[in-house]
Amino acid sequence: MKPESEKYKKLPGRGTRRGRFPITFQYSRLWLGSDHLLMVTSTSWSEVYRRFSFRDIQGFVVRQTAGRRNWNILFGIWAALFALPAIRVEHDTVSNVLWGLAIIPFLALLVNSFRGPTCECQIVTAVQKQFLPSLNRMSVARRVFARVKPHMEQAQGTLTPEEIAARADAWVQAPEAATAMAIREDQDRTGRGLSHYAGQAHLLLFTLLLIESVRAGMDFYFRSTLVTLLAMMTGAAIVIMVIIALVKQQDSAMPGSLRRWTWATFLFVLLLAANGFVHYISLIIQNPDLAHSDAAILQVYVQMAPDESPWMMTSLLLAIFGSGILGGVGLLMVRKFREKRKTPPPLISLDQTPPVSHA
Amino acid sequence: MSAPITCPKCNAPLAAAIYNRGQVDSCPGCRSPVQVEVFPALFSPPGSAQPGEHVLVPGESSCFFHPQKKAVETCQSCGRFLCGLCDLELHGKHLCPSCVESGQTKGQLERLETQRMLYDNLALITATIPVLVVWPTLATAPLAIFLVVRHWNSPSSIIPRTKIRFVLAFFFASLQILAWIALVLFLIA
Repeated sequence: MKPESEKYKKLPGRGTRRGRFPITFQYSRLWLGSDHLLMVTSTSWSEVYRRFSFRDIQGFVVRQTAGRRNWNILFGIWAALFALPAIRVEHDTVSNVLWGLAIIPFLALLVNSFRGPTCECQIVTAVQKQFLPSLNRMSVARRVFARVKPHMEQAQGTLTPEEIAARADAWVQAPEAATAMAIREDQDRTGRGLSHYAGQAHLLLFTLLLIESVRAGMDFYFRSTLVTLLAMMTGAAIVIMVIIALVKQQDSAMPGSLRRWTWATFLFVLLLAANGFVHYISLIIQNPDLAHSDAAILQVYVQMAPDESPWMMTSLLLAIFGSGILGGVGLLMVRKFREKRKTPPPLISLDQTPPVSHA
Repeated sequence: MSAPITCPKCNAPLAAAIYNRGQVDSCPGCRSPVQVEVFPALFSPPGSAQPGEHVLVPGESSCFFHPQKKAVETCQSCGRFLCGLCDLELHGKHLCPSCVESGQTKGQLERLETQRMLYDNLALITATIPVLVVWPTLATAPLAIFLVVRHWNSPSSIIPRTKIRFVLAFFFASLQILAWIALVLFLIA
């Protein structure tokens, strides 16, 4: 059998999607084949291919997102941070450098605005729904549809609005629709199946944060080596749990708000760890003769009173309120997620009043 | 018939009234602006597999894999007779399951490939990134040249791609080797 090869044509748009590991990304692009669409997802040294035959594609769903607005706000703040001091600074060189730094985000803001609204696009077939990361702007998605539509019509024919209305009427009574829809929901934005993670690691993490909040409060009234050792163990457990939670929430059906809250918790834990490290170093500098013994440093720390050290007071207040708020709100969010997970999404009747147009 | 099209955000079914309007409408569930383009496949019933007919007349050609079934096609790769169940159509060709399997394993059926290694990228990374730390180039420069020579003719991406990365990797790796040779000669001298 001789190897065959297909001539592909590049389609507009290029996007990224989350990689297998946190903070890693994969590049995605669409290519037009003779009888199928090809989605190529690239890492640095490999490519993954996913083909969608024109005969199998049932539709495209594009949802406009707030990405352009959010990026514009970010670029605007960034530009203002450099532009405002540049107006006030009298030194020419400094002013020029600041203007130079302000113009970069300003240009980015202009380009971002010019490219049009952001969106996420889903391709639908009988057996799967797949996000197309390269179609991340409405204008790009429309250009791609215009390129693909003739091929689709050649493979499947055309549909008039009357035909769509007549055929869709059957759905209202079709009980199997709900089942099929539940099967389709088994895909997420990464293209891999969703895990059945129910939020146990998050539950434990936020519970530990609440315990840490109470423990930090106890430091005002009761300080001992045992309580300090307990605090260190709780801290280590929180660090481990936040990493596990971040890994587990990948490819799960967890809502974005809870994911972001977990990332905020991670940053808070980093802040506390950095604060603890700086405190430890400062204790060693203040007591150089005890530097060789961790136990002696621990004793010095236990004997310190919070009201005598502003640093310790700030750290404890940060631990009490930060852990308390993150833990409490996080627990509520996990509870909501677990409850929602138990109940299937309600089916909304298709014969609702026509929606309001945004165009 | 398939399930209705649903909103990517809230999974609420989207009313047929908004299909193929060429403009953005609101999702009835979450009010997100959505645009839906659908095609006739959405309303088509799922296709059924051809089970193959039984051989009724003695001496009639039968399937190689199912001797009791009537042959309807021949494999265009190995020439075996195939029943409706065993006939796999791929890119206009009729193939038997074993040819499809061997073609997939040997990488001869591009249509069935889901992943490919990009040796040109790998060679270029091997030839450039270690330069930042200098010393590893002693090992990575020859390795990059080996990758270029070994995989010059290996299948690369299935989308159009030139060999410029291989050329660059060879060029950078050669420069590094020349630099090491020059350094050694300088130290000896």
